[in-house]
Amino acid sequence: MEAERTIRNGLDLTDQDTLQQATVSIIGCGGLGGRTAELLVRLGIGSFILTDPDIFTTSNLNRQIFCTPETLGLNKAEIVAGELQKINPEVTIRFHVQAFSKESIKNANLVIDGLDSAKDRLQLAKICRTRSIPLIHGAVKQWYGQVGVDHQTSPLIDTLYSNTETNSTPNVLPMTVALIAAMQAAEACKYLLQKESPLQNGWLQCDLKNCDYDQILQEKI
Amino acid sequence: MLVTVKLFAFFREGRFIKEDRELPEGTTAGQVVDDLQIDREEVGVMMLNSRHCQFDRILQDGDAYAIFPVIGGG
Repeated sequence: MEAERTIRNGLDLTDQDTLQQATVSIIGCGGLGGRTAELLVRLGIGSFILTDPDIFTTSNLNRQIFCTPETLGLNKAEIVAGELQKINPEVTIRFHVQAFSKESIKNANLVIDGLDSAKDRLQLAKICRTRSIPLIHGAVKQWYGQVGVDHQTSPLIDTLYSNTETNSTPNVLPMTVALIAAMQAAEACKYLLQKESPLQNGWLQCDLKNCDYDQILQEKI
Repeated sequence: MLVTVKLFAFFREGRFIKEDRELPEGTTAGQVVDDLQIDREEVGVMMLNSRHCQFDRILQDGDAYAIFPVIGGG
């Protein structure tokens, strides 16, 4: 069953094995984090570390894939862990019901940004860069989103968030979340398979309302 | 002088995506933001001719000026 599970990915066996051997850390298991987790477990990632201190609330129902009336009030990391295990019982999962720490990214090959605060993103990016672990960034608001890869030679998060101290709760449409999460999963896949991507040196600005997509090149440091 | 201003994400709401704007000599990047009634605290990134710039940067004829909001949700 194991080989057949991912056969329709169409990847060669070496690449599929690389994904199976990989550990992905997901920080924030709500909108972006939950969706990306679902895609990556179906892709064939073998190990996950999930971190989220929060519980599902009613206002998460519009966009968070594992938020249902049954999971309201339950911890997001724990629920996502259970759901990933249902999709693939062979997957290895650790979860942390707490804010992220160095432990959340220990032994991870890459980290998925599912956070919703500038301050936390800046802190996470700093920890990831110190350990040379790439951070696949995604963020959403209304019809708009952005995605790109932060790493040592391309500190994207500093570019995007250094000028801000605002921290509001944005309105987000479910389509925006699904699109940006899919792109984060695609960037994660390419990074793990050592395939180059323009978003490893910049970011993509997505406007679902006007169907306008702009690739922005990050200045080299 | 003529400057091409491009707005991103929700800054486009009620404004425009891209517009050539006639501006007085000496206009700064920050003044364009103010003229568009964009709260400076909502601005995440500004790029002038594909390079980062700050609010006090004086614009030149023919510049392409892009303004990106902070997008924070996850």
